[in-house]
Amino acid sequence: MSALVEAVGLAKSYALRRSISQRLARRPAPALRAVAGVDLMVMRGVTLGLIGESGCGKSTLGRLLLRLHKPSAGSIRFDGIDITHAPERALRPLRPRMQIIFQDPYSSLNPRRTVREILGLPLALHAGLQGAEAEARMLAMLDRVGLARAHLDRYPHQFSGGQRQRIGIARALILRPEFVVCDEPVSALDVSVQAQVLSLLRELRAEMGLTLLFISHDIAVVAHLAHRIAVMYLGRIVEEGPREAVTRRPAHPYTRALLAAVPRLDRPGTPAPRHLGGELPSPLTPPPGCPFHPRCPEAGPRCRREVPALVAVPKSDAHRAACHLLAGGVA
Amino acid sequence: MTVAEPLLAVRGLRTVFPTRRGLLAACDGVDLQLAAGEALGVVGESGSGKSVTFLSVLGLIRPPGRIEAGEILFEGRNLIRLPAAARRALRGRAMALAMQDSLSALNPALTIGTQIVETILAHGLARSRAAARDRAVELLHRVGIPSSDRRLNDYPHQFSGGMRQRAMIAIALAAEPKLLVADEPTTALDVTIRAQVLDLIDRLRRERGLAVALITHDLGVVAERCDRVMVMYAGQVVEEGPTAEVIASPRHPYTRSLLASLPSLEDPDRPIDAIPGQVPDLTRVDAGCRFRNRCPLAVELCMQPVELRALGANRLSRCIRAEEVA
Repeated sequence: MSALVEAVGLAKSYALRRSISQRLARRPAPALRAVAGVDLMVMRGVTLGLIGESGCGKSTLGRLLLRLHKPSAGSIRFDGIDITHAPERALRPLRPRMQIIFQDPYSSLNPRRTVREILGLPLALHAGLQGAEAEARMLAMLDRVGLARAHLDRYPHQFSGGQRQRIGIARALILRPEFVVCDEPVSALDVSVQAQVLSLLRELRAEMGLTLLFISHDIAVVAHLAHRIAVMYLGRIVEEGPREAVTRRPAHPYTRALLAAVPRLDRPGTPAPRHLGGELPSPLTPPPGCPFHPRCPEAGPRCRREVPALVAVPKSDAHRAACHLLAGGVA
Repeated sequence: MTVAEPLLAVRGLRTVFPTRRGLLAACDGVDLQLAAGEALGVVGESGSGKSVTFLSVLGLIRPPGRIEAGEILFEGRNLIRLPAAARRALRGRAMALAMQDSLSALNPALTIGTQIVETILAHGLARSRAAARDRAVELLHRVGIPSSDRRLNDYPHQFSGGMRQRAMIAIALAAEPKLLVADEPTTALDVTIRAQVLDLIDRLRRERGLAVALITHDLGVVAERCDRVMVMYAGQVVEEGPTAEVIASPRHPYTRSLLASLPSLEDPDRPIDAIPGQVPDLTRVDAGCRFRNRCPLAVELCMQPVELRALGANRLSRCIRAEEVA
């Protein structure tokens, strides 16, 4: 197995506008570190699930890997090609190979374009296909995602949420990409429609041999699709490993808290025993040391001083976590 | 009868909205009961009528929408016959609503403190502004907002999502209502924060006998927090019963399909079965079962009207083949 996408020390900061008091005091503009040094590999044919709460940087990370954003530090390789600073012209031949499916099927499709135009544009731009040839490709794709020929000349508002997400999937897959970032693709959908879209993604993944980065805040949904799972907290990956290991033997206290907070159907009337207190800290003022220490039940003095590195979890294969408990203790 | 009079009893509720395509009955013949100190989970997908049912109870249906039939008995009084002023007095004082979107429910131009104080004064629950302010501090403290006397001066945008949600619950609870309608109160919140807000609602129910209607699409949340669940589909109640029993052995094909469509963390590889087809157009429904076009058990008889019927002591199902659903 080879790595299709590889990130090393990847970071993204956004400079914010200075407030008047900051200007008067001649202080530098504050920076929001959305992604704070991520090392990650997505192997060819593997689905990596990325979970974390809102504001943890998971969407930004997904967009960085596609070079939809420019990183502030670190490097990204796609199929061995360094695309960290590649200009748009150099990225162009790679674009058909990497695509994205967005969360909100209401805002991610241009309301003034018909399905024919939405699907036709990437075909014309990247594959040079037009006319009958393009139409044949579109119809095959529509059929594959469960839509019909009659839908080709309709506008997005004429479809339900689930159908729109099918259009979003068709648009992403029509160029037969290798790598697809799915950014919360089912979060805006009703449960029964969510199941339809998840099943479709699973089938298409097998048929087309797709490599997926599947971003979601819903751990059960991620576990259903992913081979491996990465957990993000405040811009960092705090745990990463095979699905079974992360969900059954979580090594990071945050992953444990996240799993405990998932409401379960199999034990009615018994809320999860211990819930995590506190709030997600602001990425503008991340706490020193381990980003999780203010909420961590196991935190010690070392956690307040030192940022833990992602280290191998003992007795667990290909499983890493960033916690001092795994490397010399918290004292 | 030995059973205590329920706090809320709804019978045959039908709320309609005129549309270009004709009259749409968003909830159509809904019956329900809720006792003090009880948590009822109300589950359904978008358009199932779960929110409209409780907006009708709260008297918040805006014209041209209207309640066409049925009765809403609150402590034995039929709210539908009550004059608007009396209803308004009841709302907020006796029954309150906590909504999904706390950012739009709170006024961004007023401090959190002002909004709570105004609520307290509007309902005549404090004699002076100073007393109302003391009460506001106490309320915020009760919903778990630290240094609440200082946070009272903050504007909604200075609160995090979880804190805003709790502040909204504090406002809803300012008048010590007997019924709290929580409409997707935690959907916009992250899992770890969501648990904190649900814990708060739980505690108030146990300690103060608050009746809670928890409207959600998340069966997991209902499983943890509600003794009883009511499943709605296309404007009707299709199943009702003790949550543990309904989840373990559903008695309506829709409930069963809904459960089968959820991915499970315990068994992530279990195939999930999507429900084929779509919810019917509510302006075009006939008298028959509304789930029959998507139902694996549908037979010709399902075109006939189906009543919500009792199965044993405390289960209800709107399916002629309820006994066969497993």
